[in-house]
Amino acid sequence: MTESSRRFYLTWLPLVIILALGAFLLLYHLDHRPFWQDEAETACLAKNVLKYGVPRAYDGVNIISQEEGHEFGHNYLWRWSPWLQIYVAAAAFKIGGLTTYAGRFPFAVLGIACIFLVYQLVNHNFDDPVWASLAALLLATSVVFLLFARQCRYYSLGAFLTLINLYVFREDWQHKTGPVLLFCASLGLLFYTNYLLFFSYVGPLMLAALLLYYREIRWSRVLVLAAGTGLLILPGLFLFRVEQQTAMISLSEIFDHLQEYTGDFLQFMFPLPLGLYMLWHWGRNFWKGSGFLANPAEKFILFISVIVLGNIFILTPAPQCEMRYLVHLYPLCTIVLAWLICRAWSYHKFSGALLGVLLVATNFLYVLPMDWLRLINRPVHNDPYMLSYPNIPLKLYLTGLSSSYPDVNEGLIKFFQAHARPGQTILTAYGDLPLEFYTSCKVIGGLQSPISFKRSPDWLVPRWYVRWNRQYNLHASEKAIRRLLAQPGAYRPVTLPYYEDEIFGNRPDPYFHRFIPPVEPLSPLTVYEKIRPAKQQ
Amino acid sequence: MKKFDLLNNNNRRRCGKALLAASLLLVTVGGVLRLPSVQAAFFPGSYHAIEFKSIRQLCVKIEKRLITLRADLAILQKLAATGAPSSLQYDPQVQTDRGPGWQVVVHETKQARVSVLQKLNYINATLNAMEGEINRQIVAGPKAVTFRYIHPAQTLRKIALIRARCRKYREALSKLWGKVTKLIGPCD
Repeated sequence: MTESSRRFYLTWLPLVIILALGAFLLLYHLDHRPFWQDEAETACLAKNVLKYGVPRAYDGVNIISQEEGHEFGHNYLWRWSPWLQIYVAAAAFKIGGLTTYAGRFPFAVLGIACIFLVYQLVNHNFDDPVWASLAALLLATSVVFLLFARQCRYYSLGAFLTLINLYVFREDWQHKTGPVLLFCASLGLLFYTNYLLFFSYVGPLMLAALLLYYREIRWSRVLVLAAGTGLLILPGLFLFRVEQQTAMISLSEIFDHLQEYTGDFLQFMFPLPLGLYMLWHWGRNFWKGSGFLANPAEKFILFISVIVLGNIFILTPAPQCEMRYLVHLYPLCTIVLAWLICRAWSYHKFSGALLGVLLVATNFLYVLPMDWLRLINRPVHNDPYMLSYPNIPLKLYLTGLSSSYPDVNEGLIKFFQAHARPGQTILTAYGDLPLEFYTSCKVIGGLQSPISFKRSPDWLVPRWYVRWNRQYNLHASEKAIRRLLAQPGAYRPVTLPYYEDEIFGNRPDPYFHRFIPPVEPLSPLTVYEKIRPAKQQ
Repeated sequence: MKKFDLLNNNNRRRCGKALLAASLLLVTVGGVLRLPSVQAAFFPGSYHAIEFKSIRQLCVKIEKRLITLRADLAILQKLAATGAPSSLQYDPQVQTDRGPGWQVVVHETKQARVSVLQKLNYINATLNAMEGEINRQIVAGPKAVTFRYIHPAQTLRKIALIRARCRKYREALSKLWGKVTKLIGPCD
């Protein structure tokens, strides 16, 4: 075999196979289930971008709100979260039409780009195609990452920009202009993707760079980077009212959030035993002063680890503790995990292979140690065919994609498309945004406030799961529905066969995402139709 | 026969390898045994568990809500003492010493009375919903077959504790209701 063909088989062939696998897993049946509430928020705003050019929260019929109207001012301009994901979705709708597939497509493609970048980052810097291929394979088969990347939301965009930034960081930004521009652009765009990701990433990046690459830092260039990035994000700081949202930071919840993020991280992103091994390994080397940082690969792994852990720590005071804020760290975790597999292989081939199989094909190493130590707290609505239990995730994932699922939003959308007349009013306790996107009804309720209607709504959708606002009051829609249903003879129930009243629908978080219908049936999905008085002859 | 020496580097390396392989094999076997399909085939109904995380979270929310209710009442009592008929209204634009969103609104006597009664009704509805939610969670809990083993007696004890907490919250609301009734007259 010639050198060039050997290089092809070792470098490019595995990458092509992994990318093909990733593309299949990310794009197959992309519109299998409709948008759930948060995706529909992006989609509805993107729809309004096509109409008004900017994300407006009101289209003349429906209001887009999940924070009791705090997301916009008197002109309904969306100022709650950055706009990049909205414009990406709008561009996709412009090209592909207002469909579920079009809305999710660009984000899924960015997921594929993440797989490529993981490979490229490792192979380009360390010339190790085996490590690079393993890292890419781990990302391509990580079901949690796939679920998030298949959403019409910023998750894969955040991961993509994080990877670009890391890639540029290992380039010659100290002397060349191109990397500096790309560095600033990637950070600026990360801000406009989600500023929480930006703030939680930049701090640990600086810390890790200072700790591990201090000698490579050229301070004049750092000032240029800071100024460039600062200029880019400055308008966004005012437009998205970042200073107002910092008022929601809750220091009292830091410990709870730290606990939850650590639990999520260890259960779905980086197995506890491997984390303990890393701590032991580095602790021992620091103690011995063995100069292990002379190895560039090991230094880079420590660099990534500091970024990941710092990121989690900075996220803890943020008002909401959600797994979605960790998704951009998935690619970094797979790089570390792949490095560990290579290390285990060089130590003991059987163990290395077994570790690889365990990490690629199962979630045993993630879930079982947490279970044995009794560190898992699964919500009551979990069942064994979810990622919070020992499973073969890819099998669950493919089963979910290839079989029908009684999605709550799909049930409601199909029902109202068939039974409600255009312009009729639906008052729902949750899931108002998917109905706004897919039906031509006026939809009120959800997490909006206040709820006002001149005549009582034509349809009511109470939901099994009760929702509260940030002040721990019942949401206005819950109160309104309870009040209307308390009137005798005003509404009649209609139970939707097959569909179940699950909490969210196609939410990607592993604690909530079901691949197949639950073992024990949940509450049946019931809507209420207004009883119209019989017309007098 | 040659003695096994753990301090010998080669032996230590061999032990390390064996330990690593054994641990990984243990996880593999443990995982296979706990796969839902294996559990259903070989150990049907052997594990019943209830996960209390969401119920605990709910209790925390209820307690936080009660704290705000008590604070509301304290302000009402204070204002009643000054003779100013008043009520509390939520306004997101307002920042107060009790956090964002609450302000005291001075009304005509009749309006204040209606407003306070409305607020009490909302509090009542909130508590009813909270209790309903807890009961539903408790009902849903034992149905969820999981692989965490919790003894049925322990489960029942936990449920009893949560129900006792619910009763405590209900009593707290009754007391609040009584105090407000004293302040503004009977709630008709």
